[in-house]
Amino acid sequence: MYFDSWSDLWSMAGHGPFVWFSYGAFFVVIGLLVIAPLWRLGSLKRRLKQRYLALEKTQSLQE
Amino acid sequence: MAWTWFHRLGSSPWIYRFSGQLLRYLLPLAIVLVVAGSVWGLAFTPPDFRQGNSYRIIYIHVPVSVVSLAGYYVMAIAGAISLIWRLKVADMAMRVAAPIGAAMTFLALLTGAVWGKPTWGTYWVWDARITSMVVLLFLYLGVFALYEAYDNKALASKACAILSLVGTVNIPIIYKSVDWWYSLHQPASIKFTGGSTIDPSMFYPLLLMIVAVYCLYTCLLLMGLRLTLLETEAKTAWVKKEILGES
Repeated sequence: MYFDSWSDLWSMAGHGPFVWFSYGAFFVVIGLLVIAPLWRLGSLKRRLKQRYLALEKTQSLQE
Repeated sequence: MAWTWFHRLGSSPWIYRFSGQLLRYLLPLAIVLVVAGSVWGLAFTPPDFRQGNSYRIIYIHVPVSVVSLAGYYVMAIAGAISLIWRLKVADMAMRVAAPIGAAMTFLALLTGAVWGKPTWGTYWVWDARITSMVVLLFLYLGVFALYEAYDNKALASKACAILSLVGTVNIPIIYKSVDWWYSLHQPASIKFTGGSTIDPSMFYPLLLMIVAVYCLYTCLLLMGLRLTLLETEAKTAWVKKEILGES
């Protein structure tokens, strides 16, 4: 590691808040970008499955 | 024939399954690369001789900026393909690329502003580079909003494709803005022609982060595409088979 201690890494000689905010914002945004479609895909699959199963049930009842 | 692979790009089930398999490896790889590149850039590179530690923002700012520009070409080319060949997957890719590109452009502007404060003494200036990046953000948001504004989705896709294509004129302007106009923004450190003005100890982690964010962008595009495919083709037999076959 380039820095001598964890507190040096955190403060970055006064530039810490700017650098850590940038990395924080980056990870928050990409975290949301990755999680949102995965979550939406999961809930869409569940909804579609319920719909297909309900449809099959009504079709079998009609027969 | 060698060209038969091209026809698969028009096949929704093939794209859904192939992208699912690809994501299984590419998404973990992208996450590992992003984390590794960030740790390398934050803790294992020397500080800049003039900017000190604030320059470490470069490992976020440059990759997201590069991908926000490249992402616009992705959106515009997908728009052109959907306009010319009526390929519905291309139309979906164009729509999916808009919010991802907007997020990348937003991050580029945000990290640039935060980097500007310790370096230039101000968060914001209305110079050529920054203003043209704001225009890029509005172009992305414009394509996204335009699609939502139409009830007739076929017409909406056409309008979005045309807006994307017209907007491509902004990309070379952004890229060359630091050379064409006097700007606080520094010129490019990495050059395709001629020597780069960045030390290898800083260049390699930057290169890693650029590759990582490209991988991540590809993953986001594929995830969005898979979601849109299922949503729009929910009534087809292949989606039903896909959903019921999984359990």
